Amino acid sequence: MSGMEATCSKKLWQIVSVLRCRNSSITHLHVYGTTAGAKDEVVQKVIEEVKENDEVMVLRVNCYVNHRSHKLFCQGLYNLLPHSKPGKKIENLESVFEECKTELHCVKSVIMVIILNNAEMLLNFPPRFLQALFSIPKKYGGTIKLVSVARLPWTRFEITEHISSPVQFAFEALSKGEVQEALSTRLNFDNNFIRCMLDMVYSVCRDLNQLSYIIEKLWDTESSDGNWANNAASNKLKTCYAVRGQNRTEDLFYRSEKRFVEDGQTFCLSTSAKYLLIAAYCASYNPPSSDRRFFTKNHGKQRRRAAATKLRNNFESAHETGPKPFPVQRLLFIYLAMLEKHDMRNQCAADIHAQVAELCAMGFLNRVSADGNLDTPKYRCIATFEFSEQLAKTMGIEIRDFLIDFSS
Amino acid sequence: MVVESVVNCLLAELDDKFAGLDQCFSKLHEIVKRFLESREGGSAVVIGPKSSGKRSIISKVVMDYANDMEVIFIDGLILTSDTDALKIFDTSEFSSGQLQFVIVFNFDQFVTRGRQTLLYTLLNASRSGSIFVLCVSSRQDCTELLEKRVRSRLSNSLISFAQSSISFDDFSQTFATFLHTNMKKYKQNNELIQPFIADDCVKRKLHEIYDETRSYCILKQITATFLCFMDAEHIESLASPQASRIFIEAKNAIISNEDTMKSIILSLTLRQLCLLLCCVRLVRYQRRQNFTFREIILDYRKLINKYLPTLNVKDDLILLKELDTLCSLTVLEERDQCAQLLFKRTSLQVDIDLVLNCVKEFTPLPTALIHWLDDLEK
Repeated sequence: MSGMEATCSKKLWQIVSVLRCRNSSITHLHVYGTTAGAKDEVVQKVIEEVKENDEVMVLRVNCYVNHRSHKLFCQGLYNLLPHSKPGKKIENLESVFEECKTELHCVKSVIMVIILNNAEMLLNFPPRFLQALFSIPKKYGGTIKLVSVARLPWTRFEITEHISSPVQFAFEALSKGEVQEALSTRLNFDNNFIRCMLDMVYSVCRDLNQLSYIIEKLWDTESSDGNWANNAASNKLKTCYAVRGQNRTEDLFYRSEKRFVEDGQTFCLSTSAKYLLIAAYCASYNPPSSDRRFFTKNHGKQRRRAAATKLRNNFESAHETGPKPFPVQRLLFIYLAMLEKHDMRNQCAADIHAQVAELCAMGFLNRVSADGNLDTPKYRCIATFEFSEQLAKTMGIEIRDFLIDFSS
Repeated sequence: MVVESVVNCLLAELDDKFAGLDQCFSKLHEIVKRFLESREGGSAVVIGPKSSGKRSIISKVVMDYANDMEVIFIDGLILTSDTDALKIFDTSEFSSGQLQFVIVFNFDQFVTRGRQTLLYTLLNASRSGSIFVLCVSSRQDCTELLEKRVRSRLSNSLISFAQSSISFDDFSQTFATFLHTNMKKYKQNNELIQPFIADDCVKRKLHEIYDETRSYCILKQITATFLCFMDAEHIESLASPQASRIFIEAKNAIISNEDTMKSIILSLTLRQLCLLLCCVRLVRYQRRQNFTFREIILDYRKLINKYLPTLNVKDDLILLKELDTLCSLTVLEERDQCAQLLFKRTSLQVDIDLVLNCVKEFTPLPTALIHWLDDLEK
């Protein structure tokens, strides 16, 4: 038995002992740890161990399901009771806990344990509700206990207000040796193979379930070629992984298919919408002072100055800091200038509000002004540069000619 | 079937032990007795910090006289409006003529919302009828929040549960009281309490608890946890050498001795840790609190290309997902922004020194990263 298993076993029995005691000082336990630890397995074993005792009954609440309103949470908690009546309505937390107390008398149990899985979603409730949730069980003399299971420590739950003083159990991450031992017992592969794969994958993934999945898939995808079997030595295994396995690991870890470019997305736009999107991109990533230079004819004789060159050096690139908001009049100006430049003035309408609304709905533009501001709305282009450049190329426009970041 | 042992006996007795509250106990008894004898209405305010035993003492005192008067509990955290609270008060008024004792817990919740209708109604009834109103709160300034018409109907009786000037000897003596048992069957356990408290480890931990909080309720909770942990390892005597270690574990379960985010940071993968170190470098060297995901990714690529080429990834989307994972773990700030992920703004939510200390404890740490840390320190 390794050190981590001994530590988890000790924590397991500590949690069981705390859950069985009938002291009213302890009504809230907080179990936390990331997926790199053994939190979920230990909580499952705690439930099995506690259920063996007839004096304890366990309810499991998934906070993802009941996290939107107080009444939904109370009703969901009440519906978990074995003798709950279907039509009864529960209004507040006190009614729920009174029903829990009645249920304890009904089934001849002594202690009720309510396990709140994914307790981070409780942060959606106001602090007053959480204070009530964790303080009401104190009235029942330690016979109702709440166990919150989360990834975060309890200090992150009560950043603004004091809510409760729980008994906290932290589950540390498994170390590399412990992960290797666990994988060797789970998988039936060669230990040398597991060790080499773990060396490669451990820097990006420490979840035991994910690691089992990745290593199984790596074996399945490459075993048909016989690479692993033929290259049993460590050095050759690493070489094979560097050539073929690394990209495969990323795909397996994120469960992603091959991403292909969506050409159909560009054809959905009408011609005026395409011009409008290109104009919006130029409006977002160009300062307003450069509009005269790019979008007007006969903008005057160019004068080069040393001061202008110094100002250019200090100018921060728009593509570094992100898109800037622009008013809709500026967008209209740039749009009409582009139409004039490409002799498309007669074919596209000047009223761009419907097209702007469509681009907002498609996710290419983002309104940054208030919804009630109908006179001078401001927008921001959130399309990427690669997408805009490709869209412009399909229409014979070189978008870099109109961007100050790419012009000299 | 609970096994009979000294640990379970101590846990059963621990509920009825109250330390340092004798004056509050006697004052409450005096108030209730005066109300029963004179049958005249009145009011009082009970103030104390959280977890100082207000609810337990009040329930214990009031239930001793439950046969002579009707007791009504109203909680400001549970009842979300004055109307619901007044319904409870109205339904209990059915049998008129009997003495009524109304206890309003968390009455500052009724003060801060609405027009204080409940408090006005209760206090008005306490001046004309045979009703006593006991207002319990954790806020020190709760009487100043009352409206003038409500404050004028409140009497000047005040009971404070705040402990004044608890010395460490009082604290140790209370801990000894919590470990004391009255049953003769386990009388030998009482003789082991003083050597246990005189132990250096236990005394140091008691000092830490005393410096962190002076609440006897937290001390009682630590004692109960300590007894449960003893029961988990089947140790029944304070003379065991394991007892001091178990006490340290019980104290750390309730009052952590180190930053609780440390275990979260040590659970990160190496790639997530490198991204976090890039955030640390941005905060320290550019002296800015806010930065974008794009800046983190650019800094990460510089670090990886120079020190750790095996961690290089071609797709920015993977790094953006890792940064989102750090946001969900509250290591980075999660800010709502409906724009591109690359330009999402964030800030560091943990201490820089904590991150650097965790990196030194991280295993296995590549030697290239150690060189990067040495360059960072210069």
